[in-house]
Amino acid sequence: MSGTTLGGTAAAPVTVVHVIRGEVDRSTPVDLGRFAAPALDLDRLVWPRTEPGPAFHVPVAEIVDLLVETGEALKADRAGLLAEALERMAPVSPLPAEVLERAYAVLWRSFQRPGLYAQIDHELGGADVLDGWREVRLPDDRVAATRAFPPRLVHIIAGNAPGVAAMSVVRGALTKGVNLLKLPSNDLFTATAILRTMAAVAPGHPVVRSFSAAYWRGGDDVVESALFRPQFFDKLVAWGGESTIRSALKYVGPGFELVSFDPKTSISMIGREAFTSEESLARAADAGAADATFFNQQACVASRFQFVEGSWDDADRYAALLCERLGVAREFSSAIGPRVAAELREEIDVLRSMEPEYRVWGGYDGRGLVIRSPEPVDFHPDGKIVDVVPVAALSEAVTHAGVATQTVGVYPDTRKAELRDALACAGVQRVVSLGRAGGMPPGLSHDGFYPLQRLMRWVNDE
Amino acid sequence: MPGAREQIRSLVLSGDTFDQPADELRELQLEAARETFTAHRERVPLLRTRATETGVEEVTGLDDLVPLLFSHTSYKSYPVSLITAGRWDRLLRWYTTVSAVEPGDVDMDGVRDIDEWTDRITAAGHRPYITSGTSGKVSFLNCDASDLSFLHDILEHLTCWPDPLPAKPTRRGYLLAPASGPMRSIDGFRWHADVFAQPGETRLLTEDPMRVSELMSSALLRRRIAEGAATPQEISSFETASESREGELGAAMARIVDDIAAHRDEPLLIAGMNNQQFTLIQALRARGVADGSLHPDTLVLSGGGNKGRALPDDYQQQLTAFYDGVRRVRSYGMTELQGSCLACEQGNYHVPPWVIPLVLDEPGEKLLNPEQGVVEGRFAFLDISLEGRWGGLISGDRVFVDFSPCACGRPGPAVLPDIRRYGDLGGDDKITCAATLDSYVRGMIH
Repeated sequence: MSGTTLGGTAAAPVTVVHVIRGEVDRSTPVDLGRFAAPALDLDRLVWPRTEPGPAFHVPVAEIVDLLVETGEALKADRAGLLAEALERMAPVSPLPAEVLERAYAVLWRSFQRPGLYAQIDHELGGADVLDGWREVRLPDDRVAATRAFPPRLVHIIAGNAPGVAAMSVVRGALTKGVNLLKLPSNDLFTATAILRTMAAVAPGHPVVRSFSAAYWRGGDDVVESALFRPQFFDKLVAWGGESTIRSALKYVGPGFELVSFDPKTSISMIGREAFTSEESLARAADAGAADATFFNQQACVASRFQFVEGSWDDADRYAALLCERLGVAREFSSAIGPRVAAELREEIDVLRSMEPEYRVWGGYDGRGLVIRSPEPVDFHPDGKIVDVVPVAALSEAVTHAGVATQTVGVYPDTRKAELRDALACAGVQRVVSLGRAGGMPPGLSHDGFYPLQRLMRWVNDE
Repeated sequence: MPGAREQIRSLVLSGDTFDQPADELRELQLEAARETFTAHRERVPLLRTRATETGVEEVTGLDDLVPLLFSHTSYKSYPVSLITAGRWDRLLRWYTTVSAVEPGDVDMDGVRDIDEWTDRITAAGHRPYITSGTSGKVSFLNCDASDLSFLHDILEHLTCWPDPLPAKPTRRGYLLAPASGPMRSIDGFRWHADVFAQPGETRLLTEDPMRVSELMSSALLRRRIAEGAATPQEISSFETASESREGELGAAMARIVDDIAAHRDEPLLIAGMNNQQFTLIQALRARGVADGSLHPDTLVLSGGGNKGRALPDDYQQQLTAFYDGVRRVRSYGMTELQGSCLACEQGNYHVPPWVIPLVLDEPGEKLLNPEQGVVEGRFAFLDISLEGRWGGLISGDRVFVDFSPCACGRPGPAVLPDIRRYGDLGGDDKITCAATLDSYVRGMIH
C-alpha cells in the first residue's frame, strides 16, 4: 500500500489502488490528472483460457464461508481498509461523507449467509448445479445433465452507490468464475477495499485470486479493444451509464455477450386512501420521501415522479408534507443533499413564475424540493427533487411508466395487485410497497432477469 | 438628457463604436445595467422571481448581476406537452414569464399549431427568435420592434468592422436559407441583402418559409418515442421525409452553384449557415471554381455552430481558404446577444459597448472580471440594449477575455480567439445506474 497522505480537498491528487489477481499492485502510480493509478499490465488482467480459473472447482459451501467471513471483517474493519477508502471517496464522490459512512457501515449486509443462499437457491435452484452436474429428465426417458459452469466476467460497475461494488463481488464469487472489475471515477475505492478485506481474511485463496479491480478511462479503446474479446472473457456485465452501454456494444459479438443493468428511473403512485386521515397522509408522504431520497436520489431506484390520485388540492397537501420529509436524514440520505444544479434552478424558477398551474415547495439548498404540475415536467428531477402530478385514477399514471422505468412504489399495498400487470406490460420491473424501493432483497430478479443465472455458462452432458 | 442605455445604443451610429475609453464606458454600463434591471424586473416575471429568490434588490456592482443571469435553458423550459396537446394559452403564459410580452397583448383565439402561435406573437409587435439545440427543443428569445431596428442599425453600420462595408446595393445575392421565419439568421441575411445586394437580385435556397413545427419535429417525435407512443411507421416516415427534404435542397443548391459559377467575376453576397456554406464550397470546388477566385467585393456571411458534429474539424479553415480575398464578417456571438463581438485586425473579438461581459468560473457562480489582463472562464453577459427580454445570460462557452487595451490600439475588453464549449472539453467518466428517458431513444438527434 502506498503511503500517500491526503489533504482531503478535491484538488489533492488521489491514489487509486489496483488489485490484480487478489494482490495489491505495488508499482509506482502514474499521474492521470485528477488521480494517480498504477500503469496497466494488460496481460495480468486476463486469466488464460488454457487453464481453469483459480476457483472453478472450489465447493460453494467454502465460497459462502469465505464471503460470510469477509462480511464480518468488513463490519469490524480492523485493518482500517474501509476507513481509508472512505477518506479517499469523500473528494471524488457526489455523495456526502455521512451517507457514504452509513453505506460503508452496512456493506457487510450483502455478505450474510441467508442472502447468499437465497441467490443460489432462487436463481439457480440450489448449489448442486454449481458444484457438479445436475441430472435432467427429458421426454422419451432420456437423461441428461447440466452444470452452471464458471464464467469469465468483466464488470463495468457504477459508482453512485457503494453497494454496487459489494453486489458485484458477491455475484462474481458465487459464480466461481474469474472477474475483472473496471472502477468508475465516482467510486474508485469501494471495490478494492472489499477485495483487500477478502484477501486479508484468506490470503491466496482461489476466490481471492479470481478477482482484479483496476481503473482505466471508460471507453478507452486501447484497453477495451484488447480486453473485450471472447478469447479472454465470456460476458461484459455493465451497470447503467448510457455511454458505457453504447460503447460496450462495439465489442459485443459471437462469444462475448452483454449483461446490462440498464440505466433506469423510478416513480411512485399514491392512491386516494392516503387522504383518509392525517396519519395515513403522513405515512404516505414519509414513505414517498424515503423512496425519493435513496442515495440522495443518485440511485436508479430513487423515485422522481409521484402520481397522486386526487384533486390538485390533494396533490398540494401531499406535496407540502413530502417536501418536509425530504429534508430528513435517513440511513442512505442526508438532511441536506446537493445544492440544486443551475440548469434545474432555471427550469424551476420558470415554473415558480407560473402559479397556479405549477407550484413549488422548498428551495435550492438541497433540503428537498417538490413541484406540483399538471403533467410530468420535461426535465429529469435530480438531487432530492420530486415532481408530484395529480391523476384522476392510478390507472392513468400507468401511461407514464415505460421501458426506462425500473421501480414503482405504490401506496397503499392493497393497490399493487390491480396495477402490477399493467405496469409490467409497460416495461416496469419492480412494483414495491411505497417506502421499500431502496435495497433489493437478494434472490429476486434484478432489472427483469436473474443475474446469477445469467452470469453462468450453462453446459450440458446429453 | 437621455438615459445611459440610450446613450450606449446611440454608439452604433457614432463611427467610433468600439473606441470608447474603458473607464468611462464601465461607469455608463453600470448605470445602464441598473436601468435595465429596474425596467425588466417590472416586465419579466422570471427576473422578478430570480431577484426575490436571490435577494438582489438593486445593482450596486457587476457582482449583483451574476445571480440574475438566465441560461439558454430558461428560454426552452416550456413543457413540450403544451405543444403536443395544443395548450397555446398556457404556452403563451410560459412565454410571458420569460419575456416582456404581456398575456393580454396576444390573441390566441383559434391557433392551430406552433407556427401560428409564433405568428400571433409577431403580429402583436414582438418577435420570438428561435434557436435549435441538439435535443430538437427550440428556445424562444423574444425581441420587440426596437430590438429589431437596433439589429438593423448594427448590420448597416458595422458589417465587416473594423473596415465597415458601405451600405450600397451592388451585389448579386444568394441566401442559403428559407425565405422567411422567426430566426435571427434568416432576418439578418435578408436585411443584409436589402442593404448590400441589388434590388430583386437575390436568389433563395427555397421559397418556403422556415416552419417552427418542422424544426421541432424531431423533438416532438423524440418525445413520442420516449413515451412509447410513436409507431415504427411514423419513425420510418420521419427518416424518409428528412431524406427527401435533403434531396430537394440538393437540387436547389445545384441551381445556386450553377449561378454562382456563371457570375463568379461579379461582386456577390453569399449568406448561409456553416453547414450550407460548407456544402456550397465543396460543390463550387467540384465545378472548378478555385479557392480565392471570387470577386473581392463579394460579401460572405456564415455562422452557426457545428451542431451534431456534422462537419469536418477543419471546416472553418476550408471556408477561409475558399473565400480568401473576399469581404467576410468575423465575429463571436450568439442569438442571445444583439450584434456580435467583432474581430479587429489582430483577430480579437471586441465586445460591443451595449454588452457587459461577465467572465464566470465554470459553475457560473463567481465573477472573475479583472481590472486588467486576461482571464479564463465561462462567458456570460448582460446585453443592456434589449427591450423584449432580460439580456442577462450565461453561455456554455469557455473563453479567454482580455480586459487590457488590445494590440490593435483600441480599449478592451476583447474575447480571444480560443473559444471552446465546456461540453466539448471532456466528460467526467462517472457512471451511474440512474437515467433519463433519453437513454432509450436511439438517434433522431439533428
